[in-house]
Amino acid sequence: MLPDFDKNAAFIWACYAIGAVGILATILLVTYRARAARAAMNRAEARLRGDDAA
Amino acid sequence: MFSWFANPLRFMRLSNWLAPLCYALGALLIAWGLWQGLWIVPKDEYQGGDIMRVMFLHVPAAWLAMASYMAMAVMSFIWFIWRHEVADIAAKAIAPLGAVWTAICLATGSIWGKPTWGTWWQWDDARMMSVLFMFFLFLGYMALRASMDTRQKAARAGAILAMVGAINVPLIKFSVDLFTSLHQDSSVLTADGPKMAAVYLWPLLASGLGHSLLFAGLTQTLMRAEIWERRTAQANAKLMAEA
Repeated sequence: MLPDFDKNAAFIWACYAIGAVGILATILLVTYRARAARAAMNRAEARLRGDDAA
Repeated sequence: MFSWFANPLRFMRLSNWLAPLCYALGALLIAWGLWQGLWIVPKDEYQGGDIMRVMFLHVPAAWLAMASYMAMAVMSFIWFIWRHEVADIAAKAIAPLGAVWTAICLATGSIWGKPTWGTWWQWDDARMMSVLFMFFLFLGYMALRASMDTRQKAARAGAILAMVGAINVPLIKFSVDLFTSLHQDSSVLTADGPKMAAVYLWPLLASGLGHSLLFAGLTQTLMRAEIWERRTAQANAKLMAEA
């Protein structure tokens, strides 16, 4: 159950919403970049080894 | 010691288990700090009632903004003196994350300011302006690196900007004592110890440590991505040479 913050509720929840969206978006972008970088490296190194499947 | 950390393979082995540990501990501490800050601790009428609960996000974001800039400057210094590539990779990884936490600090501070001081922003407030300046330093650092045509030039230009800009960090910390500011004086990191009641201090410290661990985990993940991208570039260069 959400706590009741009376007249300040909009300000408090706006702050935490900005924090949550900012941090979660950063986590998603960083994870995506790391996975893409790792996949690209695996493909490039497989080509270098002469692996046709790459 | 720097040489031990300068080995990318050693860093990859270390971060392989350290980054997930940072994420897990960071998430736990942030969750506990939030639960305490939003549901458990009593409101402080002296600090404007319930609005002080924004502190459990705003203050850790402010600490991390300053700490991340200092970390970026120290890594730049290590690269500048000893030319350890991992230090440059760390500085490059810290910049976008530092910008995110600085933006959160500015946004939450502005929202907190409206019901507390009656204004979203005060242009002659030394602390607000010095934090805004630090946000632009993070953006400038990334833009400067991106504008250089070689990795060495990017590292050198970025390192100089990061080191020169570090003078802004003590300015932020002491701005409330030295200049005009709507902000209150320091209440946690003071020479006489914390002035804050323990019921607020522990959730705040937990939240601060949680954000720091999450930041450390994200930095390691970005550094790993950068190392993989450099290895990809090397492999592609070899393929081009063989073709």
